[in-house]
Amino acid sequence: MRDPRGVLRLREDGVVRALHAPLASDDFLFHPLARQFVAEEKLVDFSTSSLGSIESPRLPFVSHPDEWADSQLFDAAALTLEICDRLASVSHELKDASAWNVIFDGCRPVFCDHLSFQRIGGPQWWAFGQFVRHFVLPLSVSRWRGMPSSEVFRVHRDGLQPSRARELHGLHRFFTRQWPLMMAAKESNARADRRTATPYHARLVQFLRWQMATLKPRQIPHGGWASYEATRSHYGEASIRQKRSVISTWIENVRPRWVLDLGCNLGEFSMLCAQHGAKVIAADFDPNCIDALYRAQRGNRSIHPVVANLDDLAGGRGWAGWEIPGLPARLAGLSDVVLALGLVHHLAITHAIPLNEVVAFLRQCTQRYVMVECISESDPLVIHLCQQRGRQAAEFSLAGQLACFGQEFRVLESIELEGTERRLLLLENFTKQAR
Amino acid sequence: MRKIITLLWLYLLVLPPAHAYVDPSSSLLLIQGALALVGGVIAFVKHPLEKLRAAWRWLSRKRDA
Repeated sequence: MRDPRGVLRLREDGVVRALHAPLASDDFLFHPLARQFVAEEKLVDFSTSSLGSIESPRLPFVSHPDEWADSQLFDAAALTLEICDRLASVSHELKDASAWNVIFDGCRPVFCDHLSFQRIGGPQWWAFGQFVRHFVLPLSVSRWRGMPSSEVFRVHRDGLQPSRARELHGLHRFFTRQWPLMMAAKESNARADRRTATPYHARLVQFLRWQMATLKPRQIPHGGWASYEATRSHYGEASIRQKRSVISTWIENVRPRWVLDLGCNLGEFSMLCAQHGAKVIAADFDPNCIDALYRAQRGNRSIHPVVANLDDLAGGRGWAGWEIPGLPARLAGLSDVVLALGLVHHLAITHAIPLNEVVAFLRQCTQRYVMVECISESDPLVIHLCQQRGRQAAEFSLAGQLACFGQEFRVLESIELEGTERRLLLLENFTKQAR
Repeated sequence: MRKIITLLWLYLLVLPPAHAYVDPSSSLLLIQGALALVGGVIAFVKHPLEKLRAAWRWLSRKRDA
């Protein structure tokens, strides 16, 4: 929306950038390097059949920097730097170095702003400051202060200002490589250094790579929900195998194109669905879980990891709240199947979301099926959660859950997991089926 | 030299805040030359032979011209 060179229009089958002025014959998009970027899958494919517009294919699902794990932001930064470096060799530069210029095709970052390329006009790189705000400082705050980059972008759409980074780091910033990048501005006009005409770009890329070397996200997921699979004592081996087998059979029978896995944790069932040929949006509120999933699936186009707290999903963002659609709008009606495994009781008890609201949300997200794991009121974990919240376990009876789901869905199959108080349900949305 | 370094540290510690109408990242434009110099040193340290060869070729071109 904000590019002065053109207007972005989203169509069902593609994206069109309608230009205010036609592309010049020497525009970078006609350079062989642009086609090389496309061939290497570093730049979204494009066509310039008319000089007045640029057309690209549209990815069915796109996540945003406030939904990325740190490793995704790090890979997006590495891609941006690689593009900058290779552009500098042909006397071109990126006009802007925003994290929003990168999208993920599954677990693969790809640059999408075709209007960002321009000839180098002077020694300085004007987008350097934006790269620092969008990539270096959020990753620095995550690495040294423990605030995930997704949380930074949730508050700061245009990245982290140096002054804010300075406040968050405090004096600790002097023990990091990033401290020169958090200096305050003393003057309002920054004049280009006219003593040399040699562009700084290649050397600035080297400097930024040196900065990024200390910001690579930690490889080992530390604690919390990231260690759930290793520590779950409420499942025996047999019940886990049974659960995997049931979900696998259902997915095999339903053959979904898209699956939305809510509360995916480390993506155990997301990967199971992907093995059956589905594309999966794997959403979890824990950035460490999504980071571990992304690193394990790096390069895989089938799985789209998303950091999303269902208890606090944002509506639209950006200008007037409509410039950037919120996650519910992007998820609505995309998936054939929604997985809600071991999730409903957390939403209903821990977050006190009324059960009929949970059911309505699941109906909104699915085109047809929901695979849900319901837990009875006599399950020790339900009793424990209710005690913590001062609720009665009887409020979350299995019969009550079934009745609630029954208002929106038809139960196709119900299977009790051995040795547990848990039941897997395959539900079909009968309101959509009636259309 | 020690006095200069000490003064520089004190100066960096007590920098006043930027005005709201100045893009705070604009300060990075002022120091890009210095940061590019650091980048150049890093590039040389990583690939010294390559940089020496490139410098030799540049010098030779200048001499021939």
